[in-house]
Amino acid sequence: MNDIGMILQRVAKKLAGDVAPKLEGDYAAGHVKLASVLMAMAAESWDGGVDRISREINIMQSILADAGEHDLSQSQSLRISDLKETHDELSSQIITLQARIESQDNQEAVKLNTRIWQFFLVSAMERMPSPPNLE
Amino acid sequence: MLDTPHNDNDLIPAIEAYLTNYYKDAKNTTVSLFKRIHGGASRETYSIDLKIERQTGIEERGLILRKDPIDSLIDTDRKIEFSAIRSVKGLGIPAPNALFVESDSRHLGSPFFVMDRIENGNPLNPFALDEVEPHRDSIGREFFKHLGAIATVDVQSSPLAREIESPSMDLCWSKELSYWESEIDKDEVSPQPIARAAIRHLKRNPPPPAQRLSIVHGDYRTGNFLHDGNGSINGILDWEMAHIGDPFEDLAWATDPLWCGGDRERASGFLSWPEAIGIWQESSGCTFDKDAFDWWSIFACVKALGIWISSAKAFADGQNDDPILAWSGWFTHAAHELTLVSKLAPKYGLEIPQ
Repeated sequence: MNDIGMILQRVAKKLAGDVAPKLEGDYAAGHVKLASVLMAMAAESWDGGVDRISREINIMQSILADAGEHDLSQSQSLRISDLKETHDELSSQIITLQARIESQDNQEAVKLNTRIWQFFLVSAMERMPSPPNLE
Repeated sequence: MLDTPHNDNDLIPAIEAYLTNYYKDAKNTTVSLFKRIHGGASRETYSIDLKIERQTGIEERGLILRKDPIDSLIDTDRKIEFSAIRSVKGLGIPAPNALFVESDSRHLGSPFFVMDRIENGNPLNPFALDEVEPHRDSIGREFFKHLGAIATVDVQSSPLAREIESPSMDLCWSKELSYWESEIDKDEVSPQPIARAAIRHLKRNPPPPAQRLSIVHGDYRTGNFLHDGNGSINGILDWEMAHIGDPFEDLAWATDPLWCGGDRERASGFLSWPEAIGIWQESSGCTFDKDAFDWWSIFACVKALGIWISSAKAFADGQNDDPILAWSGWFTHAAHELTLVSKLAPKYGLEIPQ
């Protein structure tokens, strides 16, 4: 069995439905309830995690390339930890780029900045976990 | 994983010894109930039933002990929280009765302070605001009235002013923004392009000077007060981020979307915006200023991100394994990033469908 998302979701339900009620009144009940919520969030993000980070990397690379600041080469690894390292590096470059173009008044800089905000909006929406449903 | 150096019950003898010494006329004090209350990640919070034996008889007293954890969501001195509560005493603001503060870690393993427990106080979860019905309106009116009243406290003569510096009225914003920027600098475990863009925006577009210097609660919101179940607020809690500054800071924080239970129509999920602002203006004596409110609303998101970023670091480092820190570093961080982008992106040419 390797459906990790399903396993996390089922364990989350078990914790919320069976374990937490038995601890009602104890300080640990709060920990168990919150742990079950976190597991449900992890279950949800499991399936799309690599896809989301990869797409964010692609968008950041494209923005930086259009600003003449990045060569589009990338690591072949799809391990989350490797992707995250690349993502962090590109995020730092985006911070530097945006800080620079904000002080420029030309139309190109304004358009590029709007594009960065568009990226922020899309990534913030996609990163927002669903309200957990443990029914 | 690290945990507190004490099992909770190990604290009882030390508390009894401390309180017997504190109540000078007591022959003995006995803790009959000692229970940790969930949710206070900035302090460890315990409810105590105490029996005080005196020559004249036995007094039973309900207390709350607020003790510093190894790490918390917020790095503040408990003396500030204690003196902030003391600053509003007797002014019709339902803060707890703060009894004493102890800075010496020898007694309970870390500094702490003690206050009287507010009996018959019900918490309100910001994610379940419907539970306040049928008292939503009356709680809402009290919520904004007390918020305004806090802004009227005489700052210079307050106990809080003896603990912290007062900024000038035109620099309230930069003092707070610098502090939270430094928290993000210190604690970010990955780059924060949205927070950084927001900080630069706030610096480029400062707010108008404060209309007055006020005590700022710092975390005034749903979830941080108790109500009596009959439409009255009987305890305003969690003063650990109190400081002196611009009253618009509290108004913006109190009405941040995260604390409104997803309700965009009502301020803080309680009242129509015009009614809420009207009550706050009348109570505070301030005049609503949209530019000030907008600036402090964006700042509220940056401050929240600062807290959530510190939470994530504390959890990731293993300094504190309370799951609330992981939740804060993930869910609420994501929520505030989305709020922040929704507020700022239209200012940079992006149309966002409502």
